[in-house]
Amino acid sequence: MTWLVALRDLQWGRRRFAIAVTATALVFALGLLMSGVSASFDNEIRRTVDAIGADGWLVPAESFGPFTGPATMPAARAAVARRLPGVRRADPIAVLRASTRTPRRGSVNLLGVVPGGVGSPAGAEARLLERGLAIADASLGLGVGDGLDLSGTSFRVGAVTHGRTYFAGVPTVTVSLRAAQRLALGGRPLATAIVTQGAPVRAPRGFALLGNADVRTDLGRPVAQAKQTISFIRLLLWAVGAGIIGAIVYLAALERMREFAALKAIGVSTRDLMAGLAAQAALLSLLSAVLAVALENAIAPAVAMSVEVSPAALATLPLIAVTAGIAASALAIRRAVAVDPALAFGAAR
Amino acid sequence: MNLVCRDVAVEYSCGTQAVRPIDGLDLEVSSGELVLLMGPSGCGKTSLLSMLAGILRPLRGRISVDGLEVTRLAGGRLTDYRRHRVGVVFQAFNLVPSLTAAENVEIPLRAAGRGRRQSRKRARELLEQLGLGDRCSHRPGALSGGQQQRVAIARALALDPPVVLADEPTAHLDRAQVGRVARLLREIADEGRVVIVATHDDRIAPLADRAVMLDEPAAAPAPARAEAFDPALGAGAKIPVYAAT
Repeated sequence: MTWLVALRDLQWGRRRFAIAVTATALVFALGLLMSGVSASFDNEIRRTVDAIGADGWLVPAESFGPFTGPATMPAARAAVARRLPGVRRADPIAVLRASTRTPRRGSVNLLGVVPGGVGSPAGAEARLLERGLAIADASLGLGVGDGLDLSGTSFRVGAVTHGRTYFAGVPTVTVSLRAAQRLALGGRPLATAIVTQGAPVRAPRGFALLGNADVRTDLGRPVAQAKQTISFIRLLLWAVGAGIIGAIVYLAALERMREFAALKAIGVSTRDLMAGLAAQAALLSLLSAVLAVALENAIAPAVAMSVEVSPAALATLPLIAVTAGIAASALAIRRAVAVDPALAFGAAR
Repeated sequence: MNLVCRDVAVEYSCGTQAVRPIDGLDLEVSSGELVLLMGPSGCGKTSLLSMLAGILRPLRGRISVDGLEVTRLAGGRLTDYRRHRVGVVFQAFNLVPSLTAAENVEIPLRAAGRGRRQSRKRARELLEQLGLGDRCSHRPGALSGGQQQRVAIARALALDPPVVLADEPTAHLDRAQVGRVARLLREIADEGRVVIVATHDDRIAPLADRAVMLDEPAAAPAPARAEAFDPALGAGAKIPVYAAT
């Protein structure tokens, strides 16, 4: 009975409910996009650290992170690290920034690695770096063989990576350490970190030892505020979406007060009335969630930033939407529960 | 089966003044009786129906249906009373506009826990009995006033309650429909039910067993008067039966 009345009422006011579902879906889709952008920040950090594949990071003691506070040191100090207990291999790495004009003016993250060493891609890609080619992320917009201008120096793209970005979608370009030194360190044999395979037990004098978790924190530092803001906006969007559902169910309930009164008067229980309204809110929310997923898929390609909505986020969306929708309908449910059945009698007070 | 009211009073405030349209009402109605509640607007007809329906609690007094004291019911037992003991036909029909005629009749059945198929069958049977067999799948908006009224009557009869209450059942009907609804109410009473109808319409009177005349409301605590008249004796032949206390 509950479902029948709820469904029929939705059919009855289908245009109004369709507008509400569309509006809510749009809001939920924006929420999903925000989730996707926020998740992409975490994912790009994870991918960057995973791609370097180090077990330990040694940075100058005064540096608080290899990505956000790089300080230079002689690349030869990697030899000190190689002698540390627990270290199987250690190589210098240069984490830098460069400007580019190809294919458009912008900044890139520049990673200088020892080809074939720790932090370097393996096999054929390592040989590309040895030959002086660059490996660029696809988000830069260049393909294999394209010319790449890095701070006024010309390179050729030897391979393309996917998802290798950090600092909120800035593409990463990997070159050999020597090329990076020529490009951004005046050709001096410097590095900004030493990456190791096998975790050092302790840091040598003048170094700070960081694990991958520390490096991820370092990479996340510049986007922490953006993530916080996105989370807040996402929360607001959820509230707006739930509010739309709540408002439409409330307005529909207001119009049905006499109907509720009559139903109560003929013996329909308050619990059934509550269930009917909750079912409506749940159904509207569910439809909005489903439409939101479709809208998000349609909108995401148009967003400049990477949007990576996780399957978990997609799976929990209906649950969150339904919970929020029912919670927002509490006011409508309260009104329906409180309606005096005497209202069903025309002149009754 | 009988319905008994003893010393019933109802009061509500009208602005700053308390009004007591019914004060010290005694009434007994037996099964098979069709009783009309008549009187001017505001005299308490609808209030009395609301009290009999278990919707309005009287200021004082006792209402019982077949020994069950309605005025003492609350919560689930009151819902159960409304559902099983009394059927109500509202002045404005109060059908759910989004449901078909059959679905409207199904509501009390489904609310009482009857199965979908069983409810559908019962609803169709009732609508066919009331001459609406071909209107089962129509929504109220597609039905005439008389047809809507019959759907409302079918809904009231769905669970075969021993008491049927109707509030101004002919208010929105034309002359031909009034006659049909009046005869229908008579038939419902003849099936062994208590039927109480609040109405201004004395065209129903010839088919009623008796009418209860309610006076203009009085300011509390002055007592209101309630009288009854026998339709067979005509409108002018009033038989006082309720002594104001």
